[in-house]
Amino acid sequence: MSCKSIRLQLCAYLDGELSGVEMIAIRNHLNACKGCQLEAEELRSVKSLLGNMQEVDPGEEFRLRLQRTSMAPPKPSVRPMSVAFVFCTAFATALILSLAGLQTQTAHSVARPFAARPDQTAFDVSRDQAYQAGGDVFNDGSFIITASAPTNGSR
Amino acid sequence: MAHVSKAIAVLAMAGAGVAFAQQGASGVRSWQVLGRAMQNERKITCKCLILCRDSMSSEMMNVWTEQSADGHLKLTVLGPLSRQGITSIDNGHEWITYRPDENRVMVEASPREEETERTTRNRLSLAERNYTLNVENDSTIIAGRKCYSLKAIAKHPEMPARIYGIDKEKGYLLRMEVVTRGESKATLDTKEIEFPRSIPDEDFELEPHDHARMVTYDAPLTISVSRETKQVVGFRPAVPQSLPYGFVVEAPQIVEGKNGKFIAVRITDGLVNATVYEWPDHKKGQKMREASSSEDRSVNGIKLQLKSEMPKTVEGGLLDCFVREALKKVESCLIRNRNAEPLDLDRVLNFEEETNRETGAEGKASDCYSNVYAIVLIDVE
Repeated sequence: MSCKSIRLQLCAYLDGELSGVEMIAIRNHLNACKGCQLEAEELRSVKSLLGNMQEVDPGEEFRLRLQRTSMAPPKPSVRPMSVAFVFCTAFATALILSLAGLQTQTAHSVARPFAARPDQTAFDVSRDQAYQAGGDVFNDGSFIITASAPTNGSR
Repeated sequence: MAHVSKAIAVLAMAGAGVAFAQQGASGVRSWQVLGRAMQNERKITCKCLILCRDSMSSEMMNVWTEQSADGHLKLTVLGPLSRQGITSIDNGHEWITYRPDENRVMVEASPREEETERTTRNRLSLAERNYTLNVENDSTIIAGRKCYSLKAIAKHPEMPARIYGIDKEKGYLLRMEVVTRGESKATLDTKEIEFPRSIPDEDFELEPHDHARMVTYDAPLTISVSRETKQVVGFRPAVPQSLPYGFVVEAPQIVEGKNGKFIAVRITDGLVNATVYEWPDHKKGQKMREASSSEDRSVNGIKLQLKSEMPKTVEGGLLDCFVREALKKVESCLIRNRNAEPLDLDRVLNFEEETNRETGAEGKASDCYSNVYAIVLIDVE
């Protein structure tokens, strides 16, 4: 695999979203390539920084406004559009989006962790569960290995 | 004719006596076999390939296990590929896990450090109260080894039965199954095993990748609940005196999480372990976003979550006990005010909803809430 294709998948790799074969391939590449290793470390710290950001509460007023907007009856369309016009618009939009996607693939990999941020409390619980299982094979055969840490879990 | 019927009766009684004695002997022997296996769990030198359940995802994993009689243990995940290479080493004092894809080494105190023979004995005597154990088969073959197949049937019908496959010669657990409604599910299965005389020390060394980050975690701290506990964790934990289904509270512990300390109450019926987690409900950043199953409760400023492998009815029953314990404070407070003003059930329930909105918890006034409040209302009237 080339460095370019590895870097495109780094974000998904760090989130554990790839298949087993892909994970192993990327891991092997990272062990051998200093450049990609550095890239992975940088991405990891970006994820960690984003993960540590506090969630912003939009506030009660915003919620009420959103509720009002979503409950409001839809506005009638001004005039019906022709099929050709709809087709052309859809085609142009798809073209623009795909071009934009090609250009911002690297940027996209940085923006993703926000949505994929795991929950720290769930991690703490799973770590404790693994700890309990670790002391006792008779405990339903659960395994000793701890869950993967959330991106904001570094201490 | 009378002589014949008397003889038949005597024979029948003798037969029943022999059968009972055999069953009794089988019962005694089976507990001995299980006890030996529990004690031998980490005291036998062996290398084996096991199929076991991942405690997080419930997926089965192929794990290569090496352990030595002097207390060293090494576990390496072989499959699924997405987890291949995750390695854990436990030397009896320290438990180190390396996750290659995170390039992270996690260091904790060994979970086996506090294990004693007394713990095993206590656990067995509790299990004897809650289960009947019989040798189902004494020549089952698992991974080429002759094994005892022991079946533990719970005295509480809601609890599932368990089948243990234990090596006859070595007294080592090779297979474990949970039987729910006649359906058996293996939670641990040994595919290959060998018992070498010794394993060199260097086999128990970990080789993490360069620049791997080391993260250390504190081991849970066993406590006795007192007034001071509130100062440490921010709330008074709910720890009931007695539990249904033969469970007992082993120990409340304080666990250090990244968002702060929380309580883990360990409970067991001898063969099955479970933990009830308790968090303060009001702290910012302590929301249990992923922990919102039907077995979560929020009561009196405490969030409760039960983690176990038990049927939902059992989990619900156990958790209700913790809810009642947490509500005791509220109940006494309401009863003390009996002459002050009449209690309005609607107001109590509305108050509950408001509290939940305030704390941001996805509050649902659970059935047991309303039940307990209803009891308080009757008491006041």
